[in-house]
Amino acid sequence: MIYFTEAQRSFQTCVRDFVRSELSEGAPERAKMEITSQEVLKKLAGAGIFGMTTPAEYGGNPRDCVSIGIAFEEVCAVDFSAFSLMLSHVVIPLMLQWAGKELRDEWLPLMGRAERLACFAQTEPDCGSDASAINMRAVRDGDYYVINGEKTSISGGMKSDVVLLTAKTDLAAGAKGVTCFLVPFSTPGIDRGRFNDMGGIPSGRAWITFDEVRIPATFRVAGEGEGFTKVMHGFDFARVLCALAAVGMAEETLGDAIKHVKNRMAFGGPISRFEGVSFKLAEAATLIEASKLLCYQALKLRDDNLPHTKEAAMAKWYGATSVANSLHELLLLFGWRGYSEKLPVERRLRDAIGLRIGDGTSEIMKLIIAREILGHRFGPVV
Amino acid sequence: MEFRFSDEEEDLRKAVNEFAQKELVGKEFDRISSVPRSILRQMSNLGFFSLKIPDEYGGEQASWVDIGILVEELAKGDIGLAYFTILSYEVSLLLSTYGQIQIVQEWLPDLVRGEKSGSISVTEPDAGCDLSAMTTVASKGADSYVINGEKCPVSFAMHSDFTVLFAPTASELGRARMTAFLVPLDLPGITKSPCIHMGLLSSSPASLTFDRVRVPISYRLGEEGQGLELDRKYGPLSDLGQVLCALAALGLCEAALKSAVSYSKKRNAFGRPIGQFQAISGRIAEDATLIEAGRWLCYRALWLKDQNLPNTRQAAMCGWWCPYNAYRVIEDTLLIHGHSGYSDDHPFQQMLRDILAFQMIAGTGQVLKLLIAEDEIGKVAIPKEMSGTAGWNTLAGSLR
Repeated sequence: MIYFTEAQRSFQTCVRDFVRSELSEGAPERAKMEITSQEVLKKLAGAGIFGMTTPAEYGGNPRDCVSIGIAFEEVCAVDFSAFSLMLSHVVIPLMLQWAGKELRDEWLPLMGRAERLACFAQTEPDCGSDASAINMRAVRDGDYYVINGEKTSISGGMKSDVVLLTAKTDLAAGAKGVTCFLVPFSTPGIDRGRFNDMGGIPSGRAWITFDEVRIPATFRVAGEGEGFTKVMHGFDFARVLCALAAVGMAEETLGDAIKHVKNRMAFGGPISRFEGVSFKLAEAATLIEASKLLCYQALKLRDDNLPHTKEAAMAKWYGATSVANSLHELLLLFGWRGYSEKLPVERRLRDAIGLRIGDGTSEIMKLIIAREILGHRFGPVV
Repeated sequence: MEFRFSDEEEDLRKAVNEFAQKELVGKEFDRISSVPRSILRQMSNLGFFSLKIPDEYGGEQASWVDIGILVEELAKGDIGLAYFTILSYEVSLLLSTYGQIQIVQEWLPDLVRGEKSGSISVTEPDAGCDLSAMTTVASKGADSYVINGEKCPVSFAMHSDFTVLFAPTASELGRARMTAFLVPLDLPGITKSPCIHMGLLSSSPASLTFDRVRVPISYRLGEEGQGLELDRKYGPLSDLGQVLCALAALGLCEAALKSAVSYSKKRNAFGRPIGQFQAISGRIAEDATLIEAGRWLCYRALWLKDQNLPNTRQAAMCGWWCPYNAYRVIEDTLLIHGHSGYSDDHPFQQMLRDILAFQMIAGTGQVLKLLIAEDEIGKVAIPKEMSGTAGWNTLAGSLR
């Protein structure tokens, strides 16, 4: 990337070397497991990947947003099994800046070392894209809150020890009635179960139900009614990281495809000689490059404290869509071998389709972009 | 012009649709990686395997349009079974047209009754569209052929009783010429090993290796060197292979789109059904357009065949375009369902895995487009690296 700093470049080399030497082996097997392996978590935590937004005083290795993007791109190119937990461990420590000292002291060091895992819960069965329409209730009862409701589609939900969730503390206030809480799964009244997904198997996407769950008021993150804006702040970041994970997978597959078409013979020579093949590669390379530039632009803006909601939305829908489309075309270039489990391309396509949906669908991203470029008065009516 | 199905055709569609909706929808045969014999017997009782085989074997003289209707409606229930039915007709017709009488009598009745099933072996690990790259070889001895090599992937190979093998004889090797054989899969020297594919699992694809497998000369289908003609007439290279697979793909995505339509009316976001958002309704409109256009392209290709008119270009158009669009329709459906579409609570993720196979089954898009291009532009359309090769000459020549 042309505008990486020296430090970012050397971090990239460092992560790449680490990933290639430590995570290549066994990656295909881990992709089928229903949880992220302890060994991978340990290795990633050892490399500082779980503490990239954890303050140094809590044992973290804080990094700029561009560098965090680099880590996602490089790790997911080789091993996607830890993606969801990596993502929640970027977003949740950021959210905890608005939590009380007690909560921070307890969770930040453990999360940074991946000794305790956390997931983020916003989506509900009847509310996906429309984030302010949640039904989960949190009712204040003295020094406690009592939580009731159901969250669904929670990546990393099956393996996590604690969940950062959004709930309504004021039903009448719309988005301004949303509050965040950090709730340990050890609290009585919580149940969870997994979805059998097409891809992203190790992320253990879960539904979680809360039945009269009582938590101390100190588990609240930020003030009552501040949840929606705080969560949106993290979403801009998470969305770009989703796209960069997809980009990492696509770049890796593009490299494999380039090797393949040089070796596969048909009609008297390598199939790379045919434009029907080589232009597919050219198109994929272009889409991937454009996606990557959109991603790092959004992260750089974030590093510079400049507005980047529109750019993050662009990176998310364009990146995830382009990657899924590219992987589809690349899979076809591999023919039947690409369709089989012998090569990682079919798995990456399945994973990438999940990235088109998670953390905001393309429709929501376009809604955000349309509003930004048209203004609220002329933008989409919702 | 008459853009309408006859009453008889509508009756057939209704009968197949009733069977498919009742017996196939939601049965998830892919989970057991095979098609149960009981279902095949039921289909046989309904006459689904005998619409287009010679009278003396209990067949009827249905039209190709009828077969298209059968395949499209079956695919709405189970895509694997639709594909099985396509192959069943390919195998039955190859056998009844080119087999020696005692071989036909030995195998065809069981095939039509759903008691036995066949597969077709053409593709090799290193030979797809370019037939001259085939290395599996049939060497002629005194009273038999000895077969050595590997075919992969072969659909339904794990559960079929015999395969129609296309392979060059020793003198045809490397010249894109081949000969067809009926090979019972219990012959000594044959090893089956399953291919782990991402979809279309009920087709139980496998690699078949042949190690000095002796096949009696009487099991040859047609003459030596006639294999390409057979493949072209009723095999995977035929217009039928392309059009029927296209209709199977369309049937599957029609089932998907139907779900997308009903979901768009039920699911609310921002206080109204998502079908009220143009981002959703516009995609459903586009997808419906693609399906409508694709279906008529397919039925016209079959109608041309029924009239004994040339349909090569139409068949090639069906072959690449319909599965390509079907992938898109299913992908849209999955995405419209959001995260629930991504899990096995809905069938769309499985449909998407399945449909990808149909982008390869009837030949790659690249080759099919070259066939259309040659018809449009002429010989000059063929890349010069390719135009002189045995592989291309045979392929294009056979299709002209």
